[in-house]
Amino acid sequence: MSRENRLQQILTEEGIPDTHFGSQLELWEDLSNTSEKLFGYPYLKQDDLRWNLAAEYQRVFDIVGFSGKQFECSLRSTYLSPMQSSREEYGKYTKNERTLRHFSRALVNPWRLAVPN
Amino acid sequence: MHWSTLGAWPYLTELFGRVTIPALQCAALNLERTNKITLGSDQRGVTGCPEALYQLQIYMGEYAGRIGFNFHLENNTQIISITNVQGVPGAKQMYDQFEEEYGERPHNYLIRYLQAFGEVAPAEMLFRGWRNPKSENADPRFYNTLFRAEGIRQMKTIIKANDTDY
Repeated sequence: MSRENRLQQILTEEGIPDTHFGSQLELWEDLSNTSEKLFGYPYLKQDDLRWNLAAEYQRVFDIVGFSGKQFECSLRSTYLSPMQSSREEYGKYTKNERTLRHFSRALVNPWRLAVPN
Repeated sequence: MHWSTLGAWPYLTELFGRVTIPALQCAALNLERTNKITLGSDQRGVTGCPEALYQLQIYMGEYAGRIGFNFHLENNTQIISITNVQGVPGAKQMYDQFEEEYGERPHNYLIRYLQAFGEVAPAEMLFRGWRNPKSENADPRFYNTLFRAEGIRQMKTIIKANDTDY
């Protein structure tokens, strides 16, 4: 399995939707601030998987709302799992596998789940 | 269905409101997101909690302790990771009084209350526990006894060389 496929598999396992941005530059524009905040660059490469994380960050923020400190806490948090994740980069996030999984766990949202009445 | 810590706030507050464990007469619970991740405590006496985004706190007139936990998904199973259990200094008398009135220690009650989330959740929920090895004040016997008594599976974690930034 190629490295890119492995990274995509992690995102899939952790529930990060594939945005399939392709060449939709207007979507990149919308997320450029988020991408800069998370990764230090307003524009990643077109096929960079981290666009998916930026999109999810923005979506969760728009729905749930959270402070910067709470986002920071979610990245420092411990998620107990046989599929280990850890925050191994400070500030700027690489495509390190464990960090990618950790980042995903901080982001993916629950609002699709309906609590029964 | 995929969901995890940051976005779980509305979901967890919904579950918190649906739990039907009888309310306590002399104590109150509070579910909140962590707002302090550094050393020291806020004006209530709540200390920083960098290892958990969510806190289930107990108040007996004043802040008396908490469990800190996180949330993520593995396949379709919801995972609650309890990564922090904390009391307050000099609270033994308060805890003894709680036990006298309710027949259990307050932290056992907090764990049981959190476990009751699983009874009202629409999908399977698993609970895992961990004693933070970086905490000098964490008494392993306290964690071990508490988790064992409440049937919480303890996990081991790997400490990484550069994992010391708090």
